[in-house]
Formats: sequence, structure tokens, C-alpha cells
Amino acid sequence: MEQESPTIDPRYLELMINPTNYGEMKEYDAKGLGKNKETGEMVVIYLKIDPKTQKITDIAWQTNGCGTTLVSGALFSEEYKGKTLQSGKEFTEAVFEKIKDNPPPDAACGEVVARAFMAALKNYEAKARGEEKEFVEYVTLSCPVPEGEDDAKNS
Amino acid sequence: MQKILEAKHTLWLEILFGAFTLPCEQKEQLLDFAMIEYRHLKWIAKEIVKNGQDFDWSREEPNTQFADTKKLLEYLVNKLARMSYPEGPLFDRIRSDEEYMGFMLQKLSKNSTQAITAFSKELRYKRLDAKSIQALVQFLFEEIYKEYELILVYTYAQLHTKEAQLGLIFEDLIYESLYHLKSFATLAAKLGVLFVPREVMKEVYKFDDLSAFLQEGIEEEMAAKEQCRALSQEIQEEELRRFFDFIDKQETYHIKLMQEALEVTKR
Repeated sequence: MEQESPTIDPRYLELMINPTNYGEMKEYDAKGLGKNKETGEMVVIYLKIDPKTQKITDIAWQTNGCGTTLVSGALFSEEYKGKTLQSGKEFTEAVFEKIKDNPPPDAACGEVVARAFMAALKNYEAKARGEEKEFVEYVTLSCPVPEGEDDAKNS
Repeated sequence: MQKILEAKHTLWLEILFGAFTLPCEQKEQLLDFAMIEYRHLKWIAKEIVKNGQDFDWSREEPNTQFADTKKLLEYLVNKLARMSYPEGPLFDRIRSDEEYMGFMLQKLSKNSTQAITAFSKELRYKRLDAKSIQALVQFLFEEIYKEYELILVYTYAQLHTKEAQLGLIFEDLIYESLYHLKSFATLAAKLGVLFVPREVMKEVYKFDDLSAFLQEGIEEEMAAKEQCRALSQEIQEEELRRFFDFIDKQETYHIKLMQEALEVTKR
């Protein structure tokens, strides 16, 4: 009997196996952590930023999350690279808007990546003010924010 | 020492994932060697901690994609010969182990020329339909990473605990995950979707709160049990169905071990 062709999108499979821009960045200008308190999923994003143009010249990210988070992280990182911080922020806000209409588990996977980017922006702004602070942004659109959780921690 | 640890980490993964691409007899030999490499890794990490320093699970990118088994084995023989260590009893042992491994792999490579299909992405397995294969690939993709992550998390935790009972529980959990990783990766190789798991982020194993980590881990294991049950119901092929029932039941005791660890942390 001839077996049916599998229905896994080859690009999706490739991104799960070799996610774009994945890894740790040792020397970065900004770092942010996105977290889903419900599932324990985390995303860390590292940015290299050109101080003159405010352009994201390099990006690296890591996650302990599921396949959807990996694909979201890979695609978002491709999107962020080369953007200015402002257009990266606008892109992220548009993502938040879109995410609201997605089913909660998928929404949380994309959101945790976007939250990490926003935390990295806060870290960059804090550094510009001379403050050494790391930021954690929590998934809120599909999971409630845990009570008493602060979004900043001193590094 | 961190650099040596990173090179050892990479070598462990190259031998381990290389093993999954080989035919049965050669695979067993490489799996034994991979287990020895894991122990080397742990001993080097233990030395670092003993010297009052910390380590991380950074690594180089493992090289596992070879056209045939001969090329893989020759690569490993060369890699083993290139490994370099300082002097001392631990490294004398490692050198001696790897010299023997190199000799044996060289022997194996002489009669080994089979094409490697573990990365072919052919996505065919026995008589499974497309829907079952999709569910299976998704499961394997997430669980292969997860088991690798757990091996590193528990090894790190074990090397940083002074509580003997916790150390023993972590040891059991490491054995569990090593076995699960081997089982899932073997299945992935048959499907042609074998991959080396991505690097584990520091935030995962350098945590502040062991209790919270264990609690989250218990919930994840419960979710994994559900997935195993769902797969067992969805997949009609008997061997696979029984395999997922078996893993499901193993997870029950796995959860018990984690609950015991949680109790110890609360004392």
C-alpha cells in the first residue's frame, strides 16, 4: 500500500531543527527575557545595536519552548534584524494586536518571543540611563500576570 | 577547563547522535562510548566545581551529518585523536579511554559503508498514516530536546547539591532521560528526522529556585504522559502503541522521583 505524503510543512520542520539566529551572544548591547509563568517557557533575546543609527545589527535568541515558539523566534528574529529599535517596537506592538485573535496556546508561543524583545528594549534604555538592570516581561495576552511579580530585577 | 568541557560536550553529542545513524551492532558500540564520554563530561564539570568555579553547558556545533557510516566513523577517529587534555589522573583516564575508542572505531570503519538515512526527512515509518506521522514527529521533536535539556539540568543540579538524597534522585532522573533520549532519537532516525538538540539556555539550569523548577518539571512530565497516551490511542501500529504505553508508565515513576526531590528541598 502506498503511504500518504506527510503534511508537515518543510520550512516549519527546517526552522524547528535549525532555527535562524539561535544561540547565545556573549557580547551584546541589550538582553531581555520573556517568560510564560503558566508553562515555564522562556525566551532570551540578545541584541547588538548601532548606537548612531539605532539599528539592530545582530540578534541571537534561545528558548526552552515548544516547536511553535521556536518557529516564532526564528521568524521574528529574521524580522527584527536590520530594523531600527523604533520599527522593531512597532512590529512587536503589531504582533501583540494580531496575537489576540490566535488560539491561546499558539498566541502564548509568539507572545513570549515578543515579550523578550520588549524586555531587551527596556534593558537598552536602562543602560542608556546608566542603570544595570535585567528585565523579564511576562506573557499576559493568553495567561494572567502572576501577582506580586516585578518585571525588573537588578543584575 | 571550561573550554575542555565544551569540546567534551561536543564530542559526546557527536558520538551519541552518530550512534543513532548506524546499523544495530555498530550503534551499540558507539552508544557505550557515548556513555563513557558523558561520564568524562560529568567528571570534568565536577573538577571545575571542586576548584570553586562554575561552568556552563556551552558547546561547539556538533558535526553529525555524513553521507555514509564510513565517513562518520573516520571523522570520529580523527576527532578523538585531536582531543587534547592537561596532565593528571582524570585526564590520563580520559586519554586512555579515547585511545581505545579510536582503535575500535577505526576497526569498525573498515567494514562500514552504509548510506546514512537518519537525516533524510523521508518521514515514513512502517504503515503509519500522515496524521500519525505528524503527531509522532511533533512529539519526538519536543521530547528529544526536552530529554537532552533534563540530562544537562539534572547533571548541573547534581554537581551543585550537597544533599546526598537529592544527588541520588538526580542520578536516577539522569538515567531515565538518557534512556528516553536514546529511544526517541532511535525512532527519529528511522523516520529520517534525527537532529541534534539545540543548546540549552543558561537560564534553564542556573535557576534560583529548585522547588519551582521541580514543580514545573512535574507539570511538564504530566503533560508528556498525556501526549504519550494520546499517541498510543492515535497510532494503531502495535509496537509503537506499546512503546508509548511503556513510556507513559515510566513517566509515572519519574514524577514520583521528582516529588521526592521536591520533598527533600522543602525540609
